[in-house]
Amino acid sequence: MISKSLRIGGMLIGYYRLCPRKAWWSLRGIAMEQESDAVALGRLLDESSYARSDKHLEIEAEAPDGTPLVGKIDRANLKHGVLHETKKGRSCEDAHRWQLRFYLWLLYRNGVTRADGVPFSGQLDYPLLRRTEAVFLEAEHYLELEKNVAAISSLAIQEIPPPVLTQRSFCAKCSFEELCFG
Amino acid sequence: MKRPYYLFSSGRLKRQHNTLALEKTSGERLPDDSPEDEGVPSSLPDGGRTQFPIESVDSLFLFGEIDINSKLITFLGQQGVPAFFFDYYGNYSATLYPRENLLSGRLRIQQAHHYLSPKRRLTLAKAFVEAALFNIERVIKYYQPRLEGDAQQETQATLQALVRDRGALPLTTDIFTLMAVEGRIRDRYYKLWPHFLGKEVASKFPMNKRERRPPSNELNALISFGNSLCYSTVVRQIYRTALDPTIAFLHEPGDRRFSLSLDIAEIFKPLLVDRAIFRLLKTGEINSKHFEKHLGGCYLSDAGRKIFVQHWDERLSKTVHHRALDKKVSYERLIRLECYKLIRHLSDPAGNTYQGLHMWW
Repeated sequence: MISKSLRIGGMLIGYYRLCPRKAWWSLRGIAMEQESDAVALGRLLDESSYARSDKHLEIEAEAPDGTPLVGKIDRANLKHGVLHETKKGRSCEDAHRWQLRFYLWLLYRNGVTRADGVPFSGQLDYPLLRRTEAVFLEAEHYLELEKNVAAISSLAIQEIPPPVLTQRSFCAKCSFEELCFG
Repeated sequence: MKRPYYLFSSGRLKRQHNTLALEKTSGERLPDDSPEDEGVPSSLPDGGRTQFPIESVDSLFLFGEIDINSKLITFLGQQGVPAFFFDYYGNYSATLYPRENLLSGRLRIQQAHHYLSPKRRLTLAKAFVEAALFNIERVIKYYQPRLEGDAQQETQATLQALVRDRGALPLTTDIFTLMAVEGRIRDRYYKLWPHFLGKEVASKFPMNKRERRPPSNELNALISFGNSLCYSTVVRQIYRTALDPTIAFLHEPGDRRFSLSLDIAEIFKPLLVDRAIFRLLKTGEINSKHFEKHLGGCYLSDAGRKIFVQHWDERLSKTVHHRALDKKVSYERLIRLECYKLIRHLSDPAGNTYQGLHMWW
């Protein structure tokens, strides 16, 4: 029943790549970020940076298995075909890359390319670090994203939460830490 | 950093330019239960005004006579600030509980399921009583080494009864018995209070038994006031989680509106309320002049409530080292962690079985 109404978004993909348990809490509608200063700062950063760009675009697509997908993109440069994702720091860099690849995948699934037929690319922006990183969607990523979507779909109907991460150091910065270990 | 605000003044609390302002009145507050009361404020604003930034307000404790309007209610709702009202005598009277913003349908269903299944409900109810008894034991053991003679023997006997009853909890088969066990231990525990307080204090403040509505003497007045502070502090922590405050396990939903708060408060009363009372009486910070008699009951005076609340606030921010989190957490945060433990249990009763807080310090 849940899986029917389930829409998988980029944040969930990022959560899942970091920690399946965090994704499970999130799927249950249990949010912890309201307490987090880091998340509040991130939101403010999003509001206050890149004021001149097209911001907050929403795209929808379907995974090959029919799961509805949705992406809320921070900002895009449509002319150059670049999707941007703004982040505060690099601590979850891998999850950030996958979040962005997921958005690129949504465009790919919808058959959207630049006017000259070149696929969109992505860019992670770290305004506080004054760094950017280019992210590309390669053919080998399709299958990985497909697998992640399938895993999240089954996580959504799983009765009990997945175990906590074995590597506790990851949890120290997570807003769910107290929910898992408190 | 958000914090609770405790307002003792009377007046009109209003929204003003996106923040909060209290227009104070200076006249004396009149009891709010007189039959000919017209519902008008006891006195009018005298021009005094205090403003406080809404961003810093976690919750409001209103001990004075406060006039509010729906603009303020909407504002507090938007900001997610619960407000707790206390009557003329300092009794808890109501909560303005903003619309829930952290709902989780699945968790709520689990919570109801754990209430409806007698076995599951009993498991949780037992855990609350078990932890409450454990923490009472800790308080008793703290004072026991200083006692001599009869007091020592009586304390020893109570401890033995407590340990025996706590050990027998797993065999309990119904909530009613569970409540009776807790009540019995608490009665014996209250009888030890004169020993804990010492002869001098105990002679001024006798403790026979727990009597509420109205509290019959000074100690009962302190317990009642402390318990209502504890209850509302727990409510304010539950509000910050996805738990449904109305579905409880030890208490019946409907014992009070937010009955889950009564369950969780049982665990925290010994360390928050009881120890606060001992401290305030033993240091003489609260003494005979801080009590008033009304209509056959004994209540803390306004000045007494201020002293209690100030100490309460300090106590909540005391910290202990939490082993699993490897950081310091405040007593108040421990209440939140208790909510999280409950969420873990509701999500995975076999893998994350709930055990109530055992004071480890």
